[in-house]
Amino acid sequence: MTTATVGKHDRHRLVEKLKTVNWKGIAGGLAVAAIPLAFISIFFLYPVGSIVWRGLAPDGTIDIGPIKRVVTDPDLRQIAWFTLWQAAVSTVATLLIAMPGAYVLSHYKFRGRSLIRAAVTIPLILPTVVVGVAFLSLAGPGGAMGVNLKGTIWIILIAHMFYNYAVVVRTVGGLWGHLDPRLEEAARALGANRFQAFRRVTLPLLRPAIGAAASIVFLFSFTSFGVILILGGARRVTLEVEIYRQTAELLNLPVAAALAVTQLLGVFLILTLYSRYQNKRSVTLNLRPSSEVEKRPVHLGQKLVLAANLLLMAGLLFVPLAVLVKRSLTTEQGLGFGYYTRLSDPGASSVLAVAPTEALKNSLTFALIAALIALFVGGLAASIVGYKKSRTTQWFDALLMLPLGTSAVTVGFGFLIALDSGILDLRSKTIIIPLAHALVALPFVIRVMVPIIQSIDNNLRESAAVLGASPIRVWREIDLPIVAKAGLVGAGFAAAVSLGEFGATAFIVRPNITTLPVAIFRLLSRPGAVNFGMAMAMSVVLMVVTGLVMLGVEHFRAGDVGTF
Amino acid sequence: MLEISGLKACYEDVVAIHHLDLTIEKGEIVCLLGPSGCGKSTLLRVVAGLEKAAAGVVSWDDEDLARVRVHSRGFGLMFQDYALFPHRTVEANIAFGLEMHRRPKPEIAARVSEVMAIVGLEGYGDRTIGQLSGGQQQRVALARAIAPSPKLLMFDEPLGALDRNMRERLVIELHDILTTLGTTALYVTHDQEEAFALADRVVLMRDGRIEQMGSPAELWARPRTRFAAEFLGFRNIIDVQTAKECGWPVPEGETDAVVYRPDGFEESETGAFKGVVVSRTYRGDHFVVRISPTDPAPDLLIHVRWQPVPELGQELRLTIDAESVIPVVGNAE
Repeated sequence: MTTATVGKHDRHRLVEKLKTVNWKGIAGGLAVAAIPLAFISIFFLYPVGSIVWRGLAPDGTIDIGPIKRVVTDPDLRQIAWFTLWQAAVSTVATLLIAMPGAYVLSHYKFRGRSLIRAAVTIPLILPTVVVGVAFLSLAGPGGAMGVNLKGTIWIILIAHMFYNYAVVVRTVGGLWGHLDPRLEEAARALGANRFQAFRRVTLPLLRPAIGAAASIVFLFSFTSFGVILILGGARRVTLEVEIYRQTAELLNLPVAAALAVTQLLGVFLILTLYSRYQNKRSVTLNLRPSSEVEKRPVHLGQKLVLAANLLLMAGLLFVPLAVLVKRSLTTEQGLGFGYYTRLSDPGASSVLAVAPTEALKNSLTFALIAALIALFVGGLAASIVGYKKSRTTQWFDALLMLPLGTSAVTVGFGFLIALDSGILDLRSKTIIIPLAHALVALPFVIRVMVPIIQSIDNNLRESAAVLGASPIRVWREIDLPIVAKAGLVGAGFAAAVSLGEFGATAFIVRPNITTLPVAIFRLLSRPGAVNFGMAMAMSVVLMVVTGLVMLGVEHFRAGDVGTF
Repeated sequence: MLEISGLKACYEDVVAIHHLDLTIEKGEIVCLLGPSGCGKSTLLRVVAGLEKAAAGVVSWDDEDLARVRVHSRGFGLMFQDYALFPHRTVEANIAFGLEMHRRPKPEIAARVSEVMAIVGLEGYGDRTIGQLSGGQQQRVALARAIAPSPKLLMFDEPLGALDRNMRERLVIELHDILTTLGTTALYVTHDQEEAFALADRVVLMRDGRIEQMGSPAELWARPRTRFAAEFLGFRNIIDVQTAKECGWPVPEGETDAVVYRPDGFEESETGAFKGVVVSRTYRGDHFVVRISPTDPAPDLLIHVRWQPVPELGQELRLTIDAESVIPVVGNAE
């Protein structure tokens, strides 16, 4: 065969191959992808890129001075070190305390279990400011416990455990509850005692879930802002808090940018280590339906384990919130709604430029707008990610997940320094707040919607087509009912995120506009029992509003399809 | 009448069907039988309009279907995992096809209860899909497929997900329903018992081609190729060379191997088969006896229905009736 015929043959094959490429599909996909790509570029890549540029080249030329300061300045080095070790300790402590909880809630059948399962996840959706205030009311100055732990590592540690307990229970329990119980039984039959069977069989199998949970907890604690700002006082400061302090109080943008770059590097490192670890560790598991795993606790020992864990959950998760509610109702004149009635009084506090009810109205408006933006952008993105799995869509997915690994403070700081000129001069416009919220909520919306879209079995579409449904009818009859529900759930999540968002908002909010979390923080920064009382009352209001939104979401999730 | 001629189809860059011709008469039940990857499901999907043919023609009553989209073909297809709509009730699932054809509401209601009676689902109309057992889901899928009275009803391994007992029961029911309705049906399976129980005609496929076709009785009496014999579960398939060396009967004409049916043996002082009994298992109405002949011959399986049953270690001398000796072409894989 001559080279000429080979070439001809190849060309022919190429032409044949090109004929089979679905150009229409690719063009449509690009058109849909354009909006999420533009959104993430303008509101995430550009601001974060600006931070990195400012951090590395404050005056337009590369200058590692500020970065060097982070490493050499004893105060800043101290802060970086504290950020790291408090995150590590928080992670280990949360794992130790929540693993038994994960076991109990995934293995024991008892009355009220589903209620408790739902209840333990409440902290996850609570605004950080609420958590901060709750722990202040419990163990702050004049707290219900009678000791003032404000400014100590202990109160930070407990608040992080409170926050992340559900992460471990959900992530580890989710796998544990479906692990084939016969594996451990087989180990026992082969002569392993209970502990050996756990350590040699169950623990290695759970490792991916534990690794995932640990990374999330570490990341949350590493980038923890609201909790530490409120509970840490002047002594306990993390990178996030210091970025805020340098920006808002000292107006030292170069150092803030350098700190932000350090923090970004830290997050990047954690995520890289995590994905390396996950890739190495993946084992194919034969997952069983939970009905084969669950049992009623019958022995005294099992009952004691269950009772001890339930008691712990009540103490860790329920007591702080209960104390918050109780103290918000306890005024100097005794039990009453005094702090709540003050919330509608514009002159109630000199700290706030507007009445607290105005903040509530703002928060709800922002939540609605943020939810709509996040739903629109996230819905388009999810329909691409969920529709087809290819290398391109995986990259696209990863790109849109970036805000999840980036702290809210970084987002807010980036908005502040980047969106300041031309058509992007949004700093003086109110829309910047819901835009930031939408960006923070975007990954959640996508993660909620993709599995639901993917759960639509292609057989269903084919089946409808064979039964006589035209492509448009197929979309209307099969995709729409399922996607619409996914959209509602996603929008609900976005609204809840927006309501509680504090880190980014703290940077971009102007004095005459407040959201609930910002108003609460401003009240806390002033002395006085009345200010603190109003902060508690507002926290309760915020908690209730967020709770109602999530309740609505759960209502729509209840009828989920395709869950294991 | 469905006519397939010169059909070629690819599945993910691999040629799944090579130049295939097949005609299905009205009212006929045809089973496509073959191992996984033989192209039987692809063929079904091409006929349904879910896959495109790379070459060739598929036509119904002389109308070329190439330009007729899936939803306009008026065929029915039942999927292996049923593909029931989880957001619709049993009734709403069955009504779906009728709604798509814009039938009036009272007619839909009447037809739905009619087919629910046919498949034995009375009283289940309001259930959601999640509340049904595997067997019930299978019935809903069948009801949904037959409700719009499709010209051609297709099945893609519809019983594959069920256990053996349930499968045997449902095959019989399915056969009764199909013959009562007089539907033209194309049924894909890898289970030869299922195919033999249902089909008027069995089409055995291999590597995207038709290996052999005929009525179940024809196929059973006379598998033409070694692959067909192996796939249909025949035992004692011996290379011609070996058979000749052993002095066993070999039919006239061109053959590559010979099948000796285990049923056809009987004891005879002058038989050509000699061997020692090496195992003996009880199978209800007969014993399966394995004898080990002298080298180079492989072991043979014999169905023994006579008394006394040979003992282990006993030397046997057997003959075989001519009908139980089947010549086949093709080599072992």
